[in-house]
Amino acid sequence: MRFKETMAKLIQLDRRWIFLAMGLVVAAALLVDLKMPVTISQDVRRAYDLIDSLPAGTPVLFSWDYDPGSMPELHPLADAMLRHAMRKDLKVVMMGHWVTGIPLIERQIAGVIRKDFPGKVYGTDYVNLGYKSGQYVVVVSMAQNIYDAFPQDYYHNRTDTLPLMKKVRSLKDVAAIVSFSAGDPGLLMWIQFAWQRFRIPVTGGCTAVSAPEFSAYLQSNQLQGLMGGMRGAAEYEMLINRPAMATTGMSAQSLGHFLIIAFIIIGNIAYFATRKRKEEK
Amino acid sequence: MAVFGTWLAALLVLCIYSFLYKDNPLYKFAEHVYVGISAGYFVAAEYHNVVLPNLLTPLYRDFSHRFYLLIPGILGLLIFFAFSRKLNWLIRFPLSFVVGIGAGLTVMAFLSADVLAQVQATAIPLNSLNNVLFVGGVLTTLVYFFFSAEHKGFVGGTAQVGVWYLMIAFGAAFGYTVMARISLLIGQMQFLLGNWLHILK
Repeated sequence: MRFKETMAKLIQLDRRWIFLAMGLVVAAALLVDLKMPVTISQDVRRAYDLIDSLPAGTPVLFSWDYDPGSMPELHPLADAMLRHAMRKDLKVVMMGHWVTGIPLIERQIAGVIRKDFPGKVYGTDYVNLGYKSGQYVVVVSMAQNIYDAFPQDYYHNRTDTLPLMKKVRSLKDVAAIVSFSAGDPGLLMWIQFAWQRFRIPVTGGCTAVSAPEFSAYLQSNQLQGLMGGMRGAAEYEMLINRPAMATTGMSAQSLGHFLIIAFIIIGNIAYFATRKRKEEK
Repeated sequence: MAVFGTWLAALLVLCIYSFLYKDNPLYKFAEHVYVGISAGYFVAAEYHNVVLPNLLTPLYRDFSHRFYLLIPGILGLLIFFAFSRKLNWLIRFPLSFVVGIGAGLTVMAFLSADVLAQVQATAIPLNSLNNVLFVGGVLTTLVYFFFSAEHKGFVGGTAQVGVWYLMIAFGAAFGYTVMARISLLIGQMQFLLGNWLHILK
């Protein structure tokens, strides 16, 4: 009888207790620096292999298609992939389709390139083209003439005067496109226009919410690997042997998932126990 | 200045999270600050990243060769007639360009990437369990969405299998959504405990 009363109370539980429990579990996991293993999935390995297989000096395009709201999921991934590209001595052309994502590119340049690769020269080893509105029109325009789409870079230099951009006159001159995508415009647009029209290999990461949507494109080889959310970022960090924010966060993520599973089980038990009680009445 | 920025960001995060307890003036304040700053930032960023480098600077530097840029410039300005009751019909011209170009580009892209390529990727040999499950899932789900025959007997049974596939897909999508939301919480916790309070290792 006491069990059923407890279950009846549980079903009426104020949801704010659930929020509090989740907050405490996540904070505790971060504070004790809990380490849990991260296994590498085939999709992340595929993206890593694509970047790793490119010879030094090859131009690649990185597109920051997210805003600060999706930073916890995509910023660690962008950090890891940019670091990988710099280690491989690839020439990185950076841009973004999200207006509020412009400062994020600058933050990544400061945090990765200027800090850990001080020998890299702006204009020769990497270029920040900045933001341009127009979505797929920009992509098509870049494929015709990149100088028309981006007459100036982020720092107002003329694009056609930069040494790297003299080699990259069109989108077709890059060996791969990497998009960090929080929605539209993002990865899907790059697949539809860059891969489907010009056959430029596309890879990248997306928020976990949109990861299932991209499974179909992975299966059809329209997408060369995918990093879904923080987990994808953690796997990439493991592949480049530099565990960072995403790897640390994964332990909290796992504990958070355990808590959700526990709530689902308890909720179901309480539901069935109270339903039987109602039927008895 | 960086410390001030961190404190300001931390306090705004706490204001937003106070909504989890209940709606309150602090949450409303943070929400309005976010919307206002985003709108102002958007206008300034569009001007400096698009209007200035792609329209005004080329016209100023090389008008004789770039005079054709006046056409999109004028079309863009016509959008502002949306605010005029008498002349708001003028926005039809820029909108017709946007709709026409948008439809022309996206219809082809969608057909090619999302229809033809996906149909091609589904036509695979049934020589492994994975392939059988994959093709079976596509066919049974399509049967579920076929409403010209009553879902009874063989059609009903096949549609039921399609429903199971859909349920698995919804479950996977829900799982990923939970992961995404917890990731956002982790990100903010890392900011509050690390960048703000400096108590993370």
